[in-house]
Amino acid sequence: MAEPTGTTWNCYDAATMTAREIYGRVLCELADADQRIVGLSADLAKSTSIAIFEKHAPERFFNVGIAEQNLMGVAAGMAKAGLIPFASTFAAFASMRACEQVRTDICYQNLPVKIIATHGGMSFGAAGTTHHCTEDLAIMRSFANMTVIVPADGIETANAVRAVKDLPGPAYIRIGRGFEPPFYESENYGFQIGKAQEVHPGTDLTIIACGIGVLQAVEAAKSLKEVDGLSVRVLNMHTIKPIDSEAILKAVTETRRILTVEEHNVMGGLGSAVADVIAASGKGCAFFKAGLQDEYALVGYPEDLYAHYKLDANGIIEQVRSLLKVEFEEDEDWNDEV
Amino acid sequence: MDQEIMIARLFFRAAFPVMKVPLADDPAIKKAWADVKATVQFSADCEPGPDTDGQSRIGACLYFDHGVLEVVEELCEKPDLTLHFKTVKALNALLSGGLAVPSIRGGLKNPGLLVKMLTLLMRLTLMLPSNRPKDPVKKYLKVKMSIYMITTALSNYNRLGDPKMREWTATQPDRIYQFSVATPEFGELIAAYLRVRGGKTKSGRGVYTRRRPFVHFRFSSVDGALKVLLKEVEFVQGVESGCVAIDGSPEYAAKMNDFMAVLQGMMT
Repeated sequence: MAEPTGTTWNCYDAATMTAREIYGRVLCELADADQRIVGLSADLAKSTSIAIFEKHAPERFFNVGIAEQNLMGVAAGMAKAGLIPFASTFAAFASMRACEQVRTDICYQNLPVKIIATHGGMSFGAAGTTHHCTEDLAIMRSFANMTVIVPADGIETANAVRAVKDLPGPAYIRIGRGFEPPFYESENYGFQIGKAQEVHPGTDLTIIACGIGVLQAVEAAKSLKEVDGLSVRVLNMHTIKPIDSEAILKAVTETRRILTVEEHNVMGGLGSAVADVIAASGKGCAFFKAGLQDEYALVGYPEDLYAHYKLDANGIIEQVRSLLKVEFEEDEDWNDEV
Repeated sequence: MDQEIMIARLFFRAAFPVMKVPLADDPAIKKAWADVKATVQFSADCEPGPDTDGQSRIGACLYFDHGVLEVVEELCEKPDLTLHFKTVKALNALLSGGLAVPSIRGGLKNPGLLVKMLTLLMRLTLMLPSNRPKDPVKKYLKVKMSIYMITTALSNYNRLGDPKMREWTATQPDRIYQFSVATPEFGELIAAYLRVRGGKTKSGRGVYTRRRPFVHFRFSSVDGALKVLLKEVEFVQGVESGCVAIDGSPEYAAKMNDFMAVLQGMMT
């Protein structure tokens, strides 16, 4: 494993470490500076990489067993006692199996429990629907007091983990399985909870993305510029709640076409949060939510699923063209170029 | 299809066109062929019997026209030079770096052409894993030729009907498997791609711009690519050591690597 370079993680780290591993390392770094930090897992310490913290500070790590409801209840109790618990498990279990405990034990009491949910979306593709999680953003966003963050890559995960540590209330950080490619080259790009980042300039249309969608959206934007001469803005909307209304309305005013991209059911997630802002503003625009169109994902490799649900760069390109009502000639030349 | 005939066709379709690289980029070869207009034929008898198309002889013609090469998989009428092999196996043996003696027609009449052709054939052996050039230009040529050949061979492995390759390509939507090698010292990006859609395949040179790659094999440098191509490091080690980075699906990248290994086994 790469060694940390001070408090900053360089590109090499992000290229060789998964978001989960970076989370584990950052947590160790934070725990050294703040004795209130404790780590909890529901028998998934290795899979969620909080085992790095377990090894680093075993006296402050608690495995509650395969009992996610218990995980959230214990974390709430610890927070009530003045600690800052980081509870890690798979997103499907954090958001659905332990749903009531997150709502009543943690959010209702506005306790500073930080939930790190790994294997979000379809990133655990081959494990099947039981381990997919395409509802969590809708669930978590509906809990009062909860902050919801979906980092674009490992570097942003590091920033998000640091940022939520001192939040007075609960936070939910959703990351993937660990093979997601890095997007950012360094941590110093001005991450702020609730502030979207414009990661590609454009004036014809805005893609508002989170998680793995950010890199794919930027790749799509580059391709659309190169091939079709289209100017596509991309916003990294890493914080789903509180959402950056200002950036959304600026995009509506300046580009008049909005495409949201999320690894989630289109009901209740990023697209819905963006739609809420637009509807409340009274402004009109062309709008489409890319994601799972109210269905359960197929089972397969994540990249196959991203392609199938048009969440990869090529799928996003198709949806941008569709939203722009621009027709493009299909490439039907199948002769080898030798 | 008979395995030897498939291999021969892969050589005709994927290896012979790669001669264009030294013809364009190798100064000595470029100079030697600059004024040549000639047709060279490689052929072999299908032993023990005709191939599945009913042909008793297979071959390819190389049309050289002042440094420009066109390869056509056919037997031509009046080649200036013919290298004929008694069996397809013998043809494959020679093209994969082994020993085989062809009968040569036109060699006495065109001794210069024969020498040039044999020199050009020697350049193809640059692609053999056993060939480890030290000269930077030869290293560059080896990488460029290998990347070009492998993408074309993959496409034709599918076209020639390998069942596993057919099965793999059949279910895929429009996908690009891009290979690229950064070569700032030569001011060029070596790039080639394989496009796959519903059982169809196409190989191409350069970067495919109409779609983003589904899998992108990004070699860090000529030396990095050579380490992987020469099997000095296994593919996974190549990724770990930074010789190659893979953007996109690791599972499909691994499958591509399996097919490449099969082809390398067949053609070397």
